[in-house]
Amino acid sequence: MTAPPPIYFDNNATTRVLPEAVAAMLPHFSDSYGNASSAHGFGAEVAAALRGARQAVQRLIGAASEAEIIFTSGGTEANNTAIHAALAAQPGRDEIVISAVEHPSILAPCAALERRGLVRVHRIGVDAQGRLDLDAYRAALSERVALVSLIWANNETGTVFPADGLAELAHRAGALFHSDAVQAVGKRPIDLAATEIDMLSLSAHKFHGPKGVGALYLRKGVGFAPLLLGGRQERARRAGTENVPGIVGSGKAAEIAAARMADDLPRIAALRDRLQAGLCAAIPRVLVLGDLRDRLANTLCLAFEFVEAEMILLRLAQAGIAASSGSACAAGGTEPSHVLRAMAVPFSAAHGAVRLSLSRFSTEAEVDRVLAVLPGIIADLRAMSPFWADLVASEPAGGRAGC
Amino acid sequence: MRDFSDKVLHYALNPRHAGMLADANAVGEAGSLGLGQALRLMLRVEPLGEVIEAARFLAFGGSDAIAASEALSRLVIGKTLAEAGQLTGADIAAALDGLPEGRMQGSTLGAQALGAAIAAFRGEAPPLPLQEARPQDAPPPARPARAAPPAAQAMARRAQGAPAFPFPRALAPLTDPAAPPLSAEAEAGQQAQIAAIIDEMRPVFQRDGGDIALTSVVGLQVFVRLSGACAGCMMASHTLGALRGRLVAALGRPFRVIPASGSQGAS
Repeated sequence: MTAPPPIYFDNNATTRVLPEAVAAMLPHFSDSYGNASSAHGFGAEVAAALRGARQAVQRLIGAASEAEIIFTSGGTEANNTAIHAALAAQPGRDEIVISAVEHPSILAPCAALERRGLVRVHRIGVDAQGRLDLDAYRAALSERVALVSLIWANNETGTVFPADGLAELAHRAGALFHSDAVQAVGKRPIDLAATEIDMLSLSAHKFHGPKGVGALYLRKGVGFAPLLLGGRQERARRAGTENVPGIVGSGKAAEIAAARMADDLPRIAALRDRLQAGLCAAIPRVLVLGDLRDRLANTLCLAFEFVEAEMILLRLAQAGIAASSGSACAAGGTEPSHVLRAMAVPFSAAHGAVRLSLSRFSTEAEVDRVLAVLPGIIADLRAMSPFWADLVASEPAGGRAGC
Repeated sequence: MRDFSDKVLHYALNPRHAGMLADANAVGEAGSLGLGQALRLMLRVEPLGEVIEAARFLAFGGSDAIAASEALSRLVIGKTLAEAGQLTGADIAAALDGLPEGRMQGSTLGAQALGAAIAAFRGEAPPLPLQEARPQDAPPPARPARAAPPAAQAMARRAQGAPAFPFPRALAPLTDPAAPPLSAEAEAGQQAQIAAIIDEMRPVFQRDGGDIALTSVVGLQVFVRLSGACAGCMMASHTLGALRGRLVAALGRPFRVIPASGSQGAS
């Protein structure tokens, strides 16, 4: 008997590169090797390819102009650039507003600036569903705030922040508004021209493009200072010879994401909903994390009580299923992620959070296999959990299924 | 996960000793839900030679915790309590071909639970629960969507340094262990007193869904039979500690309470 093909349900970590994107990249590893800055024909061919990719990304996020797209080495560079640029563009303002559930590529640079005494950082909390505390957000906004940076869609729970409305509030205080939309771009329709958002970060490998390519959207007219200094690439906003193959592949992935989004999203959401309903029906004492009314279509974050996520992942991997957990290896062992802590996930479940994230390549058969395997894994692990034994002893009905 | 040795992964995925040990007479716990790992080690100790005949565990935690629990169970079987008491976290880690740096907690947990089980068997106060501080920014245990079950709550309280059990322990200092033998008449009177004290404490055991009965008294050894739901539970171990305290206080002699299940344990 051959093992069934592995199932990849970790698409918020990274995605399969589209064959079309690979095909688009290949010539730029061989024959089409010119430098886009060169005046000769080798360069002109490459410059045209870069322009096509830039326009594809522009269309994917609804930017008004291709000149608003700055290619970077990824989401992390885009996020670092946004913070650096906003502080430079807003002299006299030395506060930054972020949320408690940002990606480390926002949290770490803000913390570093704070340690050096250069800025004051407001970290806005979230509720149990991961929704931003709007009262605290409004209270933090003042004429001292240079930048608001809020994650559009959370990588762990898929919870979506209302970025356009949050941007308007920031502008009333005269602050610039940036959104880390690495998880949102390609997974929901975005029309930046219709919003007041000043800057946005995206990453190609989250929407079936190659790794090592991202972009910072910079609204026309918004002040800027480059993070990397050197040549005049990207209209003198990001020095360094362009990663041409990667950018071209990202352009192809952006083009396909935009073209297929209307078909893909409802299908992916239906698969995710079936997965959620099936797991909730089969497994007692499980919490669905995130804002169920506004969540990425592909993301399902579940917290199982009285079991630890690492063992769930290990058993899933043994069954050929790739997922990820909401906990990180910390110095003192495993502990719930900063996102789960900010959401105050009950301590009985906080160590048992597992994220299943789907993509356009996910199938009904894969969902069926996870539904067939995961309840048994949870039951096995609970059978060896002292807390589960105590629960069953103290309330025999505690084992009823249902989220 | 990929830093773990093959042995850690093998034990974590194939824990042969996971599960309840119904006739355990030495149970020790360490860790908590809040810490992300916990172990309940259940041993069946042959009372006279103090040889560990069987070991099972219930564990919550990552690969290191499950694998360390399995390795510990394999290590202690066949050892006397005195030999097992020498085992350290490093011994457990060595049995796993090592644990990655930063993931040694599983082996520490194992050593603590073993110490607690041995202490419980001997009717001594168990070592203090895991003293590692919770992470400063750990989630507050407030606002649970649903109340945690009582035992989990108790473990959580213990993790925060609260006393484990409300029973008094070591009510009187031990008298001379080499107490002179009693006359036959005094023996009979003493056995009646012991039986009466056990009868008084039966409701405590029955509350946990189990029961206790006096089997025999041999010198300073009080053999009892545990049955029902509490035979393997932590509560039983500690309640036996409380019983010992009562006997020592009431009769002024350093009794040991030795639990056995079924037909075992009679003199």
